[in-house]
Amino acid sequence: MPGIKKNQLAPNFVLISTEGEEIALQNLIKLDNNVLLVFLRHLG
Amino acid sequence: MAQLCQHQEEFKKRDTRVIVISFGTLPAVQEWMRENCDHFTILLDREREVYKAYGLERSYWRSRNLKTRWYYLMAWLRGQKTGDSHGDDLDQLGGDFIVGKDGTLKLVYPSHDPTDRPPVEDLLKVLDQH
Repeated sequence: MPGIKKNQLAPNFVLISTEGEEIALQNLIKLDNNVLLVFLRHLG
Repeated sequence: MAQLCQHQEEFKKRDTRVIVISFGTLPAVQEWMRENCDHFTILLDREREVYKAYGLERSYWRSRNLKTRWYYLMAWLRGQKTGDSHGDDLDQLGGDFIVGKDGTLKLVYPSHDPTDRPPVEDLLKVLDQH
């Protein structure tokens, strides 16, 4: 498991939303936002 | 997730975008949104590349520990819909991370088991500190 730690730069990513929009973490931050990332388990 | 949904205004006040990431299929995620929360942006990570980048583990045993079994039993008794994994990996664990405006991680919270999530109050406290 990669040792991800508090205060390090968050790994950037680009993913597609349910609306079909390409979203990059970097761009969310550029808009002067904090970002809460919530990773789900399976949906059951 | 229900708690996060109820507090969406609190996150807005703190200039915080809540982004939900799922490895489910698009139809399964859309169904989940209708039933649970459709206020937040949901991103799809079918290959779980971002899960891996954020160090989120899979665990057969922790995904089926007593606490988790109890949680699902109580949810079932309350009449909540449970148990349909839509064919997805039951062992994958989730987690919560806060990224500050400077791009660094202010909170790193990989779930120990499926019931382990930080309380909303703790998330808001972290945001208030930065």
